[in-house]
Amino acid sequence: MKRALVLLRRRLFGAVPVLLIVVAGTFLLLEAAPGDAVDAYAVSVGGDAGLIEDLRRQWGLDQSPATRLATYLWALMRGDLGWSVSFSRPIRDLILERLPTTFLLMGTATALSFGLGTLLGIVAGARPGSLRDRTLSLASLALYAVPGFWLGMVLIVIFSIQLRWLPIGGIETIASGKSGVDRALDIARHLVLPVAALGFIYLALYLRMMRAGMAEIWRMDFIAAAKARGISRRRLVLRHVARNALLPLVTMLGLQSASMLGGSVVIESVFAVPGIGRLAQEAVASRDAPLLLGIILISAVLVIVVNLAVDMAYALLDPRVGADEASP
Amino acid sequence: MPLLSVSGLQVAYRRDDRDVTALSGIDLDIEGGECVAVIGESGSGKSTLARAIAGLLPPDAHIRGRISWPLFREGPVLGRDIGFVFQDPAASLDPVLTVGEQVAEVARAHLGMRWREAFAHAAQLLARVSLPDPASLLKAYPHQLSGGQKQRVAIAAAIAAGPRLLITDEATSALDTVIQAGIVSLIREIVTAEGMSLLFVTHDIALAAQLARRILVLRNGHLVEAGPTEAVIAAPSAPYTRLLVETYADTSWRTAPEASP
Amino acid sequence: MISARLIRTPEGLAGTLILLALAALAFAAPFLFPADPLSIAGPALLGPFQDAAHPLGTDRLGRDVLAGVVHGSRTSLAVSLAAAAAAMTIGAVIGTLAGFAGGLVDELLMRITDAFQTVPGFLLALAFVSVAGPSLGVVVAAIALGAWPGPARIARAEVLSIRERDYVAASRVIGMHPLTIAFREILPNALPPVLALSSVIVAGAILTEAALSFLGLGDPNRVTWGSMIAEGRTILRSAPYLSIIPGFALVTAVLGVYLFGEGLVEASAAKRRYA
Repeated sequence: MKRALVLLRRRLFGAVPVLLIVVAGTFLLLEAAPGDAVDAYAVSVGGDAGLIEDLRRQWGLDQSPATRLATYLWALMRGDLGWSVSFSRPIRDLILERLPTTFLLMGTATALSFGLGTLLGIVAGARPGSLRDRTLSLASLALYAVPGFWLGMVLIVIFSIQLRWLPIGGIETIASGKSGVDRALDIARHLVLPVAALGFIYLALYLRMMRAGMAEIWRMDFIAAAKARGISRRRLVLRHVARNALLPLVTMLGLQSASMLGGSVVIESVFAVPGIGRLAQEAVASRDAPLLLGIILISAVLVIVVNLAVDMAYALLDPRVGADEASP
Repeated sequence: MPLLSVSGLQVAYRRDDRDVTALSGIDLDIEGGECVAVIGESGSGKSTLARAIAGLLPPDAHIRGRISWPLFREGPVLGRDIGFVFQDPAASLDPVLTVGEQVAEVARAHLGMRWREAFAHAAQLLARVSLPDPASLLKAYPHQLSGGQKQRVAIAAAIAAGPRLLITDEATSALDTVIQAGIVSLIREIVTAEGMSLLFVTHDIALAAQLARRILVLRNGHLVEAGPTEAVIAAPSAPYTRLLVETYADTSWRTAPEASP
Repeated sequence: MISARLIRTPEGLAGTLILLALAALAFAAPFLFPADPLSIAGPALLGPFQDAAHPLGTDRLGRDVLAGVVHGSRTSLAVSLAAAAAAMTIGAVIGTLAGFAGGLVDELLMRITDAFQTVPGFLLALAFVSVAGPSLGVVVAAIALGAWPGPARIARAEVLSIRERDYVAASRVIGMHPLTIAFREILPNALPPVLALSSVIVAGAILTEAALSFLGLGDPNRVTWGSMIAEGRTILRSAPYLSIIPGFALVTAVLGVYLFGEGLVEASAAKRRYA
């Protein structure tokens, strides 16, 4: 436990400069955009030059980049993410509103892909080179090659259009007035396809990693030693081989969180799910730079938090992490 | 009746489209409670012999000849009737499980114990192999132990189910000389006390002489000489054996080694 | 020879065949379908396998689907290869610099690498394309921005282990400039593990480009598989084939790249086994 806490403190310190670089970098990038939110606003809503100047001044968009960066950083420290021009609302409210939906989507997809993927990987890895192993390996490779948004659309065609089992999009039936368990079930029904579209690709990934990892571990001497002690095959596969092969998978969980956030952008768009992925796409469409910046920042924070949690879990699973030098 | 009877054993592997013979024409009998040493240099086939007897050869190995166990109706069970200790203690223990669990799981697998009993049994075994503070050692992980300590754990796991035959494959070669002596005397003490047979595989003729009643000398997969220790050391009949003896010449063991039964 | 061994593995063979077919299609596109694939070629919404003149059917505006698929291969191939090359070059250079220089330079470069890895690559690409405008070069740069950290870390790890070796010390002794040592002696030897990552990066680039096109952020003057899928979305109910067919092209291309990569890994592993 103490090892884990020491690790946590060290990693938190490391996270601060990274976040600063992210903020500065993204800010500079979005600075380079020709035209700003006011231009986009004016194009859609219309307005004369005087109004545009006023709006600029009102939203502080007429000051120098350095000043604006400083102002932004100061506001950040007070938890203020700025104002969304396209939605006419504080960015923080917008993001906080949409975040739970994305959490739900990503959390379920991660649980599904990691749980099922690891399980199937163990089934394949229990006997490397067997027919079972080769079939699962090929199937997972094919699945891993599928683009998530296309998989989503195929699922819609099959399950929403042809079979009419599941709804086409959204997070719940609008204005249905449902509450409690009914509402939860309704949301669950709406989530089935997006979770599947987002999760299947990672399922394939974890499956492949587990089976490859187990194939590696089978070759190790301590497995031969355990066999020489007459340990049952079941215990050998689960408690020795899989347990050791699990470690790199846990690390992968952390690394894939960034990728999954990116994937949620397209999936939420395909299924019209109101999460921050969709919000990012909307921000790009309406050239709302502060909103996009806010989303990128929150995403970076999320990724750091997830990676930290994953590293803690890894430290708990691998007794060698953070240990002192063994005595000679 | 001997515990183990090997006759005409031949083992071959397929490497790079060629058949490589690792062992041929090996005859060996081990009685209950007898200590036998197999000596040879690298490539002599001594490890292959040990693994063949234990049934640890890879499935693609071709085995000919006979390995019989007259005292076991259905053949010995690896881990229960035969204990095996490997050369590299660091590589023979699972890094993510506690030392206690790895010893206890052997007791659980073969002695039908529940976990609680098995851990208690493991603590006793750790004490038996002269490890300090067995109770807290149960919760230690392999990387926290020294090489010598890890090998003692490996021995504890090997004898956990009370096997009739203990096979050690170069069990001291990866350890410092001082530690080696400790392990060798531990093995001798356990084997004597429990009445186990011992198959001690080594390249070190001096160590073999300390432990074994009989010595087999292997060279390039062939049996070059076999006989009682004193005879082989004092008056080797094969030139190769004479070479080995002279290379490790040391007056200290020309005097009679401690009698083992 | 590694290529001979590669062909002997089933994965390597399948992957190579697929990639060769893809490359052939991409090169032959202007000859097979000389007309602009975005131009109207026939009646609208013709289903697949119905008319020999339009084997895969036509879309809402009467554009030929097969022409679109074949021309789309050029974008996917060009963008993914360029992006992967850019990502690996940037990554190799930064990784070598960091590993070789050490100290503060290493710290700074690694923090920057961390930052780029922390932001989801797709969001970064989105931001970049929305800033710089949708065109082929921008898409390549956008993808490379998200993909370079991986190669950078691998290059740095390799350099850290190589730089202690004797031939590097010898170069120092004869007075070679450190940058020369870094890029002439060390980098070439650090490359193989970086190159091993190449198939993963190319595959990822194909998928990212498709996703960007799908969201309308690809080059508007080119037909891409992603944009075709997006087009088909509006009539998913009545004409699902318009979105489904380009997807199969994507899957085949990515699968080809993965199989090729697996074959490469198998071939070099086999080499190690016999060593």
